Amino acid sequence: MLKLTRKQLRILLFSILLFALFFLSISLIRKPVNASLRRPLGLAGLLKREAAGIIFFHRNLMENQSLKRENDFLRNKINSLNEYYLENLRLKEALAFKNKSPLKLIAAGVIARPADNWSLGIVIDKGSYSGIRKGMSVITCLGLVGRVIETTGHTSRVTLLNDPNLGVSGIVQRSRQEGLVSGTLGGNLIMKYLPEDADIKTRDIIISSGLDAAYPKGILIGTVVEIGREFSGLSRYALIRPAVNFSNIEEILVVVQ
Amino acid sequence: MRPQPVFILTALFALLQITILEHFKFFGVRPDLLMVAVFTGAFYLRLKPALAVGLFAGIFKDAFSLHLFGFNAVLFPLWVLLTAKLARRVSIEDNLSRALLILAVALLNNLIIGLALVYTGVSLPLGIFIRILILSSIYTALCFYLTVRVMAKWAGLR
Repeated sequence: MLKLTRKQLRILLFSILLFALFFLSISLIRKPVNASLRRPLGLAGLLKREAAGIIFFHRNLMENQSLKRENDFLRNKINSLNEYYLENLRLKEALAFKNKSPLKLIAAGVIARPADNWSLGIVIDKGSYSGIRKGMSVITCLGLVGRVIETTGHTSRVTLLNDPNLGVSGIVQRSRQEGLVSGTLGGNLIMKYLPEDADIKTRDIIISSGLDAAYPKGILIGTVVEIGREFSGLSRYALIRPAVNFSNIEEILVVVQ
Repeated sequence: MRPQPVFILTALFALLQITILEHFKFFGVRPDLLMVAVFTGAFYLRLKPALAVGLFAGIFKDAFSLHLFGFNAVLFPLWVLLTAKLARRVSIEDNLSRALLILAVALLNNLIIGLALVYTGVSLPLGIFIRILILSSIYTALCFYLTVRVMAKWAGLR
């Protein structure tokens, strides 16, 4: 056992106390010391960095160029992955609709649009080899899109619903009021030949009637946004906002049966 | 001048016309980039290559139109021919005058196509007919003006 004299013990205790006080004081003096050293240390760091920048200029330049290339590559990759992700979402939606729907459908992608302003249509990447025939109706999971007017082996042309050449027999879902829906080359569709006492209101939903046999019954066409009187005064018309945004269709479903 | 830049421009504009131009609609109308290419050819090329550009653009436009096949294939070379005749008699040197000429021709072209459509039984509301007629022509003329300015820098068109 270590035996200490009274004097040694006093010195030891005093040393421990001094040591403890020193450590306690460190936390108190750290802040002012740090604050006073911040500027000189910052300046030293800056000088060091600038000196390193000059000394390793070439290495940094090469590294910078390589990182820029990598950055561009990764940006491109992110963009393409984002595009794949969005396509995946759309296709999943279309597939879910296809599985739920009682109709026999063929999915196709849009590859081109008409070159003029006087017709509205799309060219799709499936044709007669995939079983698509002239006159088949075209839909998306949101609603009616149009009708196939021409097919080749691998492509088909579809006239969109907002083309004035296309007419669809539609009914008001609520009141079963019939009318002929056709395009205006504008953003809205028009439901014509409504009798004076037609039971139709704004925000009514219009669906295909199935009467003209070209389109399956019950496919959503759009919502009534305005009702007006024809110029002749004999009948009324309703403007319909289509359920499908025709300007950004990328994938469609062709109703085969 | 060499016809290659104008041929490349025509091919590029043809591709743009049937693809992404849908996203550059202004009040629901697109510019007719094929007509821009045709007139670039009419002003900067000799008659034969300009007619070739006109014929290609016309056939291409007809191939990607849903109705009235053949109209553009006839009209575009006709505009090239008339522009060449006019350019021989009247000096049209500055781009603004050329753009104004295109505006007039685009209006006429749209009017012919629009009236032919109406004649075939398509019922077009008057407002939409006029909107397409006027806005599309102005948009086309503006695109021509921009195109020749860009081409002057890049391909040295004079």
